[in-house]
Order: sequence, then structure tokens, then C-alpha cells
Amino acid sequence: MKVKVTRRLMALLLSTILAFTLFGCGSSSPSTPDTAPEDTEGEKEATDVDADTTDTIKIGYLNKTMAIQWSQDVVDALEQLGKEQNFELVYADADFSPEAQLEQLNTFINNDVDGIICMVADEGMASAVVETANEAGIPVVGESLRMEDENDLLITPCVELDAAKCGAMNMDWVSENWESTGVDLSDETQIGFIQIIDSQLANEIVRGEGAYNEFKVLFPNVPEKNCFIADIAADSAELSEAAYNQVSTIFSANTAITTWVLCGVMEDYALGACRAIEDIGYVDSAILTSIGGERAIQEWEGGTKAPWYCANYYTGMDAAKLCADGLLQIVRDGKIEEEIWPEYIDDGETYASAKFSGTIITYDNYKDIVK
Amino acid sequence: MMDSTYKFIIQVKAMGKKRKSALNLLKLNNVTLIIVLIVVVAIFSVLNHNYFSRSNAMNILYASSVVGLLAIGQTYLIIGGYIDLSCASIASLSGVLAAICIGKGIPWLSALLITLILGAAIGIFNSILTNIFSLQPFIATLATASMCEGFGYIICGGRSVPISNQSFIAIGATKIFGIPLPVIYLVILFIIFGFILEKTVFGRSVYIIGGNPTAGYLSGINPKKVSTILYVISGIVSAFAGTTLAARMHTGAASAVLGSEFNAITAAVLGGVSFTGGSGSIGGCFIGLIIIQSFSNGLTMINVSSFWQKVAQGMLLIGALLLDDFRRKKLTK
Repeated sequence: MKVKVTRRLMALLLSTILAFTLFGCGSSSPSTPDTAPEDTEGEKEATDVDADTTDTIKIGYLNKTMAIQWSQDVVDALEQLGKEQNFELVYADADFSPEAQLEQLNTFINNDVDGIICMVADEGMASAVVETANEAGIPVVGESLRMEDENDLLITPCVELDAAKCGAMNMDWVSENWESTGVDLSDETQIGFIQIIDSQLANEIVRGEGAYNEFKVLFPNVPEKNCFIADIAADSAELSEAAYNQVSTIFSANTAITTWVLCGVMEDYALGACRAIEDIGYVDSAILTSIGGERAIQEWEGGTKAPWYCANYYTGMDAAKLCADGLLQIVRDGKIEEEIWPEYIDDGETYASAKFSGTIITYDNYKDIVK
Repeated sequence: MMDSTYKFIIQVKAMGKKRKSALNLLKLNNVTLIIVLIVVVAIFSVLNHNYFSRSNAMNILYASSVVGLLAIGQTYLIIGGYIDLSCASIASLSGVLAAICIGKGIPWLSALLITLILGAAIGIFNSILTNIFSLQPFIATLATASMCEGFGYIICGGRSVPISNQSFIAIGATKIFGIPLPVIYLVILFIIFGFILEKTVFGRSVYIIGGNPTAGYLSGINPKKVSTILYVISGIVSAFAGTTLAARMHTGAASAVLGSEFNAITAAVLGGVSFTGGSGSIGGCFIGLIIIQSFSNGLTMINVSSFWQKVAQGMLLIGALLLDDFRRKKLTK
């Protein structure tokens, strides 16, 4: 009996330790990820507006997933902009579920939001989101992912990363700076090129193609057979580990190639590639670049320069500023969707796609650029 | 009273016979799996001559290291008639916790110990849910997984936590005679847990509670006690897997291992572990794991599109299961 009681007490004690360890381990950021149904309506009040609420606009941010750093950065930036520009932000995390996102949209509509920023949970459901919101008289601005109809035409203004340009910028840097890295790219026939993407995501394909197309222009003599796609869609491991697996396999399959140029279209992929390069011993013969710079900065802050030489750095604020600006033009200034950002309306399109493309940062300059 | 004692003796004897035949079956099953593995390796070696190389073998083992550790816990639990869907979330949470501890200046060994204690505590928590509150293991551990995932994001604010402590990084990145430490951990732990399962009284009790819990109870085995140990093992091994991955990647990320529980279960089932409990082996699980990774690796090596890779991986699993089913039916006849 005594033993039983002791065991139960031990179990209770350990469970309590677990709970306290977790609670005591750190502060949660204001943008703590919020799974949708947290308060039955999947909505989270994100600001406490102390200004004159009669003028306050309520903006709803429908997010695909808060599990990625980018989404949290956008929320943080929108919160900051809300304080500056007197709008209230509410946001919801669809956790990749289109169904959940539509429910959250209806919740936003019922809660009288004035405008919606949407990173659509699935690119195929863009029409459903825009139609539902517009029927309720609420404008929508797309964030990061294009909101298109079945003919690939925009159905509402969007803000997106200039994916192809980002990839190309990385290769421009490689072309101009490879000599300073110590990696010898003078014999183009010996160079291998790897773009690391997830082929399930259209934007990533474009980033990879942007890098590849520019690379082929700048290094025209690299044989086509030396160009590879490390596609993490095939790997069920986590992003970095999947990238590690794919890249290290390509290295092993192509031992005749002596120098490598890699572009991770997401920094998580580049992180995995970085570990693969180190493990196989290619640090002196590989140049790794990435789109997204936070993880590169983490590496550089640890004092490591090679093989991750450059990153295309952009912030959630870049996207949030454009999104808020577009939406406020409609909600506050009375413009219609077709009128905003005319300079970004492509031929054949009715709506604009405002683009941002980041800045190239390196080990040597990131402290000046990243504040 | 005599009657029930007599029935019990017959049952135990039957268990003994069943166990012997089950062991024979398992041995045969491993042979089948080895043949499948040889065929996979042979085909890819023909298609790409670099496939059958030391460095690629290391790639395959390295890629297996995290899922493999999770699969150890799953194999034990499934054989015992349980399951743990929280193992990947425990691993992710542990990786982040270790990174945070290191960041706060806690010595790496202590950080490692904290994560292992955390894993054990979550294992006990799972055991309490299933044994004291009688929740279905599938649902209970799914709930735990969700909690662990959430806590993982909470403690790091959703951001990855960089690790710069070289001693800690060494536990995931060091190579001994060219073999990465995670691979060595994988092999050693498979040997140890394989030995425990096959050669010890505890191992036999795992088979008995999975195959016939009533008989186990009558023979003096406490299923709750055994299952608690199984959940603790799963928790500790998962925490270790997550921590070594964080060391390997020099970063702790709350999403690091999420989703891998299903790969671990797949490896166990492909390796001959019966979902109904009571049969299977750690050796079979290891071969199943290597088959899956060798196949994925080979498809990448020969540049098969990722979408076709998914189709091919599904077909491999179905093929292996059908082969196993065919063999079992033959033996039954």
C-alpha cells in the first residue's frame, strides 16, 4: 500500500515538475501562436487600442499557420502599425486547414471587421474567401500568397515577395563575389548547382526558378546535368532535416563535381544544407545562399562565415506595411480595390500585386542592415 | 477455484507455444525483410553506381537516426498493445527546451538531463491518462502531442532557438571513425532495446500484455506497471532524439520533428510489428526503417520527381505488407 502511494505521489510530482518546467522556461511573445479554436471562434484580440475608438478600424488577419516565424513577424509588424495608424488587429490561425480558415472568415465578418488581410490556407480556396468577404462588403488584401481565379488572374490586390527576383539577387551576389569566398568557380564545367525547394508550393518553385535562370545566365558553361533540385516535398522529415537528407544524397550521387552553388529558397532549407555541406566536408568548395536571413544571421553570430555566404533578407514589416497601406486606402480613403497600387497592376490583370524583394546581407554587412 | 487454476495453466502453456511459433514467424519475417532490402539496394546500385557507397550508407543511417529512435518506443508500445502519438512532439519540445537551457547558460549535460526528465515525465503523464483515467492510448497521446506542440511554441515564442555551445553541438555532430554520433546512438540503442525485448523477463512481459493481457495478469504481470515503463521509455528516447537533432542542426525548433511519429509507426509495422500487439521485434523494426530510408534515398539519387516518390513509397509499403500477409497465410496452412 505504502509503495503504491509513493508511486502515485512520484507520478504526480513528476507531472507537476513537467508543468512548472514549461511555465518557468521563458516568456511568451505577444504573438504566441494561437490555434484557431482557442476561444471557440478562432480569433485573438491582438491590440489594446487606447485611442479614440470611434475612428478605429478593425482589421482581421487570416493566417495560414502561425507555426512559421514569418507569420509571427507579420503579426508583430501589423500590431506595431496598428498602434501607429490607429487600427485594431484581430488574427486567426488556420493551422493549414482551409475549412478552419473559412470558419474564421465568417467569425471576422460577424465581428464587424472592416478589412481582411489573408494568407490563404490553400491557394485553391482564394475565390471562396474573397467572394464571402466581398458579399459582406469587406475588402481583402492577399498576403504572401497570390489570390487568383481558375485562370490565374488576381481576384483581389495582393502583396507578395518578388520571388524570382529574390532568387536572382542571390546568384548575382555569387557571380560578383565568389572570388572573395575562396571557392573557385573559374572552371564552370566543374560546378554543380542545387536549388532547394518544396515543389508543393508555387512561390517556392518561382524562387528556385529565379535563382536557376539567373545562374544559367551568369554561369552559362555549367552542364545541365550538374543542376539539381533538392525537393523536400519528397521527404517526410522536418524542413531542415529534409533539406539535409536531400542535399547530402545529391552530394553522394555526384562525387565528380568539385564545387557547388546552392540556393535554399527558405532559410530552414539552407540550414539543413549548411549542415550537409559541413558533414560531407565541402565547406571550402561550396557557396550556400538563402532567401530569408534570420537563420543565416544566427549562424554568423556564432562566428561562422562559410559556407553560408549570403542571404536575401526581408522582414514581416515589408509585407505588413504594404498590406496595411493597401487596406487602409480602401477602408479609410474610400478607394476601390482596382484603384490601389496602379503601378503594380500587370498587363491583363485588374488588381495589383505589390512586390517586395529584400536586401542581400552577408557576414560582413548584416549588422549595418539588420537593426 | 481448481477449475480456474487449471484453465490458467492451459492458457499459460498455450501462450508458451504461441510465443515459440511467433518467434519462428518473426525470424522468417526478418528474412523476408532482408530480401526486400537487398532487392532495393541492388536496384538502386545498378541505377546509380554511387548508391552503394560508404558515404551514402551514412546518409541513409543519418536520415534514419531520429525516426529510428522514435520507432524504438513505438515498437515496444505497439507490441504491448499501446501506442504513443506524442513521441514526435516530445522530441520537438525537448529540442527547444535544450536550446533554451543552453542559451540560459545551463551546462549541456544538465540541459540534456532536464530534457530526458521531461521526456520521462510526459511518459508518466501518458501512462496516467491511459491507466488511471482509462483513456484510449490513441486519443490520450494525441492530446498530449497537441499539448507538447503548443508548449514547444510557447517557450520559444514560435522562433527557432540557435545553439552555439560547441560541447552540446558535439553530441549531435561529432564523428567517430567517420560515423556520426547519432548513427552510433541509433545502433547501440537498437541493440540494447532489442536485447531487453528478446532476452529479459520484462521483454517477455511486454509480449504477454500485448498478446493476452488477461493471461498476463493471471501470471502476475501488472499491465499498468509495464505500460508505464513503456511510456517512460518512449518519452526518454523521444526526448533524446529531439535533443540530438537540435545539436545536429545547431538550433531548437518547435516544429523540428513533428509528423515523424507516423514514420516511426510505419517503420515498426513494416518491420513486422503487429498492430494488434503481442508480436514483432526490434530487429524487424530496424530493417523496416532502413528499407524506407534506402528507398527514399535511392529515388532522390536517380532524380525521381517528389510526387512520384510519394506514390512509390506508398506502393513499397503496400507491397511489403502484402508479402508479409501472403507469408503468414502460407505458414498458417
